[in-house]
Amino acid sequence: MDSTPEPKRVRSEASARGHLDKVFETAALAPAKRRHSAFGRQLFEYVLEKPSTTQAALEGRILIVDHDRLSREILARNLQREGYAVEFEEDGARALLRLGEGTFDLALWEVQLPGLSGLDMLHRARKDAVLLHIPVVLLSEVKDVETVIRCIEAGADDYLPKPFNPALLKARIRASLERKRLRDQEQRLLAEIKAHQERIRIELADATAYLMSLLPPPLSEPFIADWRFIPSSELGGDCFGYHWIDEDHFAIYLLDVCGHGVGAALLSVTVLNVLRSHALTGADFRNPAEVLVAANRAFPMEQQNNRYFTLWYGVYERSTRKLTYSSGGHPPALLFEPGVVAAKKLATRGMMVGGMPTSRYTSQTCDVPVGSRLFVFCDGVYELTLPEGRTYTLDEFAALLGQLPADAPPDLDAVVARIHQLRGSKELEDDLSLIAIQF
Amino acid sequence: MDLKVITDADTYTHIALSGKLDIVGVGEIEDQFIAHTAGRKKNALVDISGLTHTGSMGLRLFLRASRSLSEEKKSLILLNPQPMVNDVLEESGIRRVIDVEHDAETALSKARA
Repeated sequence: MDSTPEPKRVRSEASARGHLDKVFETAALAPAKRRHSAFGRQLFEYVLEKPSTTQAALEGRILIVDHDRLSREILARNLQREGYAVEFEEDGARALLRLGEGTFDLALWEVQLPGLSGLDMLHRARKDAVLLHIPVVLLSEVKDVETVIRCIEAGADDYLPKPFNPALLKARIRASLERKRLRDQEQRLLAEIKAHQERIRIELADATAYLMSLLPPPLSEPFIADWRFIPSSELGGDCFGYHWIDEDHFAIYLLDVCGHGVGAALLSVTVLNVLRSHALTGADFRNPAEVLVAANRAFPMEQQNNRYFTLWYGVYERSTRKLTYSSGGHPPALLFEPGVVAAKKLATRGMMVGGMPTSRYTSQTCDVPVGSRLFVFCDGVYELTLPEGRTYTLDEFAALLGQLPADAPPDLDAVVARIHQLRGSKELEDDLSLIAIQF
Repeated sequence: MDLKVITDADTYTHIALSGKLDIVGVGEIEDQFIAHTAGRKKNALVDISGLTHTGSMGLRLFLRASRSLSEEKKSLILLNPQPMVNDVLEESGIRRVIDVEHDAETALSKARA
């Protein structure tokens, strides 16, 4: 360890000596003079007035790691003249510790440093997240070219042959620091992007949690009703629900707003709340076609940021065991009657809701025998791109549902697991929404 | 997604789409598509035989262009959808407002009308 205090700024020798004599004559600095007198006159060869720390910091902070005192001093003079803040270490291990503080912009490292060579240092530094990004310029005798090559291969930024050429020193330091500045800037931008992405992720998760809170609880009486909802990584536009309109009429509905993200989810939740609270003017919520007509009137796409939605809306009449339904641009619901393998596709082929003000919607009715199963879902459950490249089909999905054991409530977890298996991943391209009702 | 202009005639526009018209694909061609269809205020014939998929945003794109053209008493005509794309057009109900043709000559004569 060099016992010499760190120099701050270099002047020409004559200027420095004259200046220092004056400086140390002042009463304020007399104690400092006494304290440092033990280090000898050589100290004052290059010590200076109080440095402009701010200016030096602007240019960059450099750690010189070299056991050769003369070499250090020459380097220091040159660098300080350029406005850099310079500090010294002659012990490699201590130098690594100081660099690890993250306050240096560049290290000048003697290749043949005893104890911890330039190559050793580079191997250690490249395993450290902080040191990794501090440029290292090697100092070497010209005869050490082979070592220098190995060091460059190990990650050194550049090298300076001894004895130093001031112009070369200046150019290489400036180039290395410029690279570091760009790297630091890149890191800052990356950190900002990551922070921004994290904020968006949290907000999307919050929106998903709100949407989930609006979904109905499973039912076990007078029939079984259950559902699964798995939002795509980016919040999609699916929503659904079921509820008793009165003692005899049970509404079941699922909607899918075009597109993804918060914009789609906002419209989706708005429509869901309207359906839950029967807040469509002129619609009898026991009449599915009326509900779609009123929804089409209430949510024209030109007033919804050019978004439309698809909707399947059905009403089960308990006293008659009849299901009346209407759909707008939505995949058919599937009704499996007991003992029948093939599903009935329940859709009325209306246009997507909000697409055209003149769209017409009709209702259809079917019987629901005891033990029948109804599945209402979005296209995300079957519009899957399979690993082999082709798209899964609605008929294949219907066959999958038809294979579920009939002697137990529909195993929706098994359906979701199969969809993930088919997709080859748990990442879905679209929301997965699936309602199952066993009458 | 790729959009190719086949004809920019005085009376109609003929373009072709190919690729996957999902949310990403729509983002790639939306401005161009609207400029060549609704923007020209002429009948627009869109060959979609090269479309392998259309999602809800693709349907929205067709609907926007069609609605805009219909205000000018012009039409959007879709030509030769692949079976799966045809199913989506059918299911969405969009065929009630957009003409979907499977014969090029018929489609061209409608576009020129």
